[in-house]
Amino acid sequence: MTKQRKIILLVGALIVSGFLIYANFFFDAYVLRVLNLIAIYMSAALGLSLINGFTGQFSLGIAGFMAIGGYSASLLTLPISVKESIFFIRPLIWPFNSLELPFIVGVLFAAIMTAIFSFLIGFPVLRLRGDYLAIATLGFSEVIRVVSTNTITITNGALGLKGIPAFTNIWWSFGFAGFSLFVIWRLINSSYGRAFKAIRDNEMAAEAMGIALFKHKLLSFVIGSTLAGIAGALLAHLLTAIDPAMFRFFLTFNVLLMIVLGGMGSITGALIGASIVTFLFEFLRYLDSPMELGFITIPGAPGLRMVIFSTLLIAMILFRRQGLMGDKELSFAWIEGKISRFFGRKGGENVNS
Amino acid sequence: MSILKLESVTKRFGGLVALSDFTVTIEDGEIIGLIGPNGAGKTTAFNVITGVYKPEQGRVTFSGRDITMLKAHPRTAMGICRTFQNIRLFDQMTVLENILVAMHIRLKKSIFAVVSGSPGYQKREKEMKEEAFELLRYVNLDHLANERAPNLPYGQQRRLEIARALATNPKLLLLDEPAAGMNHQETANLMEFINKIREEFKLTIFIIEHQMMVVMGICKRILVLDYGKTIAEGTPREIQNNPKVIEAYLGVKDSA
Amino acid sequence: MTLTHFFQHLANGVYLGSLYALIAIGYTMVYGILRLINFAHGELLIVGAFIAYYGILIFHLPWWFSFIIAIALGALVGMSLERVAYRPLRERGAPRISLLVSAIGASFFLQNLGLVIIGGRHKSFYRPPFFAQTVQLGDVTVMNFLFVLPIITIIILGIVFFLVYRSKTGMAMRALAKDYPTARLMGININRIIAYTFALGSALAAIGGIMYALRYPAIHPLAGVLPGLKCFIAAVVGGIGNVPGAVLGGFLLGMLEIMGIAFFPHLAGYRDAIAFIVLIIILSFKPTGLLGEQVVEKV
Repeated sequence: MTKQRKIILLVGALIVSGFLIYANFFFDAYVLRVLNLIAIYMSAALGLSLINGFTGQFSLGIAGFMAIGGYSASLLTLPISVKESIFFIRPLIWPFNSLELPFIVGVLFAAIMTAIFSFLIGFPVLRLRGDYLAIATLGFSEVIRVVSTNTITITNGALGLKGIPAFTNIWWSFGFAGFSLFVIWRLINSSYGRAFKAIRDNEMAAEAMGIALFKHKLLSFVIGSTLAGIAGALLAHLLTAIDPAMFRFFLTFNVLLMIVLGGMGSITGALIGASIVTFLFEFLRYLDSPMELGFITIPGAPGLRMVIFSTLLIAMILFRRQGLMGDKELSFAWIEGKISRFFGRKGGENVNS
Repeated sequence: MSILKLESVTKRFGGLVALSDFTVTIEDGEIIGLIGPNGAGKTTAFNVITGVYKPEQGRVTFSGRDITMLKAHPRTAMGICRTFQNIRLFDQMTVLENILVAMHIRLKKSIFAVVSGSPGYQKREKEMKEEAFELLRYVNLDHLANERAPNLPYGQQRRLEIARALATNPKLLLLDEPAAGMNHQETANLMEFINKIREEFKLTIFIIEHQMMVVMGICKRILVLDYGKTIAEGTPREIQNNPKVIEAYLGVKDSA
Repeated sequence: MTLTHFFQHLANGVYLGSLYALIAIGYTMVYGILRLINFAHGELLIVGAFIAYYGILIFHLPWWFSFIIAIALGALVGMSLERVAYRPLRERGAPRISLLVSAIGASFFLQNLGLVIIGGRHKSFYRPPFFAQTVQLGDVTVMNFLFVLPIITIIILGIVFFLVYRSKTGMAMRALAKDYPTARLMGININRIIAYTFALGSALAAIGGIMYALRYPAIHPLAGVLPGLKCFIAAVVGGIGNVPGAVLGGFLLGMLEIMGIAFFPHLAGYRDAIAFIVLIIILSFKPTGLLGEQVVEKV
């Protein structure tokens, strides 16, 4: 990377950090929570984008992996006393019932568990194509949900886990989002990234050029799902309570909407999509609950939010299937162009698009 | 030792016999042609050689190794590469990226090295880009390196596909109807190009073609398939005068 | 388990199998032609149930008339769904993934529209007195609709088979499913045939939905999701694209669900997971299902 671009990156990082410091200090708790959610969903969207958008494997199982991540981490970090009080139907199994570990250990454990599960699930599932793959991953996600509802001694069943320490803060969530961005960006712009895209564009030709299809699909699937798993861990420690119902298909739908809206083959698109959908989801919350307008109360219509979201999804796929960004990225060249125009040709001669 | 040997290869799809008792031996450095009416089983033969299909009977040997049941992708590393009848380029990637994909198998770097941006990987990536550019220059496509592959005119897409196959460092190159849709001049250029790369890259070439000008012009030996069976084999002259071939299929003699 | 209980479960299993079979046919027919998993199909069954419900409740229609209206309107909703969410993509030659995404969107749309209009509380489906009557078979007391409806299902299946295998439109449907490009060239009006396919499949889904509501009268806008998914699994088990396969799959899955829980009551919580595990096993080992044919992809 050229020195100029390193400077742009540094300035960008400083601006973001500055904004985060300011936000942490001045924004109220609700807005901070939304910001945290945006960052967490950015990571999940990047993970799904890698699998669906860049490798062309249409996975509908992301919610299941977020569940695995969320539960794995929480079971390690929940204080023992809390565990005793919430697991009142059946006690939590060993070793979890006697462990209380720091957040980083929980997150790492979440990553490992998600990686293992996605690796195992990948074997039967990645041999399938198109809609069959979609349905199989959806199936696994649902199996995970049903199992977590029933294995009371591990997950506390439908009651879920409460009192999860609120370890997730703006630095964790945006830090991980930055990490995910780094990993995905590096990956996509590498030889492996080209191999993934080749599989997406023309699987048969990719195989003919020597690319081991299954190995690469599995690689993409495991990496993407693990990012989502860690996002799930962060989510659990933001909301401080998780239950199986949180991780039903509804969650996968939302992340899918994020990448369809942003553009399935675009990193920038995943980030933009995650921001918009998370923001809208909170912003439109008022539609689902009663509204007070002076002296009249418009009764809320639970589900109206989702009606709008599903209409948005259908509209996107009908009218702009490539999403907002298509498969383009916010490129350095574009930034450099804007900067040179802003400063009136200062250093503009260096720009090559 | 011959580079490729197919012995009594039979491929069935349910009740349909696509290839029946197909046998051919190709020596190092030859250009062999495979002709026959549509549906005769020519592309099926290619698919058996490249590993897309596994035959029900028979054996495929490459440089002495039995590869009959070997998966498709390792065969490329061994030195077999192909182009496709209806061009299969990576259509959301650039010309340069298409070439680079074909070089991925020679990367020899783990994904951790890649993501962490190790100097070893960065050096490799630079080498690969240079090599890819070199190849593009050789086929006169370097000025289009950053162009999206589907934006290229048809003839250049064909050339790109062949260049991409060359990037895998093949020993045996399978060309599936490379002259399809080309006019006389383009076909003549293609013939020259094929001869050039064979010499330059020390290739053995197995080519499926309908354009008789190409087949008769550059192939030393020709096999004729009909309904999955070999009905003739010989030099271009022998094939042209073979009554069985004339009966089954012979393209109109090109007004060369 | 006593013999009495066994017959009770058997009757339940046959009943559930029948309604699964009817709904699975819709999935399989659409997949056969469009290679699309119509995610929204599950919603169509509950739409049928609710139209019947409101027909009786608000319009005071006789139940049998309300049922008929529900089936007809269900067919209409299915056709509209195709017209709005799938046809534009099909005509534009969009990749199949786009159709799948649209189907997912349509599914959520219908579910949540139902929530908005109807609300989240369970409604009690009207069970006509005729159906509430019980029948004594030796020691077993069975509600008579557990018999009547499977018989009606067989009649309906007969009609469907006639339509699919003996009528000209059915032949066109099968031609499109077998070889889409060639069938188009044969002068078949694709849009019309596909609309017809959706209409038929949706009508069957509506019937299935009404049957479902008769058996489990507490209905809810989201109640179609799980049965819908299970019926899709049934279609895959039988061989997706294969109509007799869908029937076989539907009956198998219905019987398995009831009998499985009957013999292993402690697994009741996992009944939904079992259906998915069956799906994954089938997809892994015999993706063409029990009666399906191997489709070879041409290079």
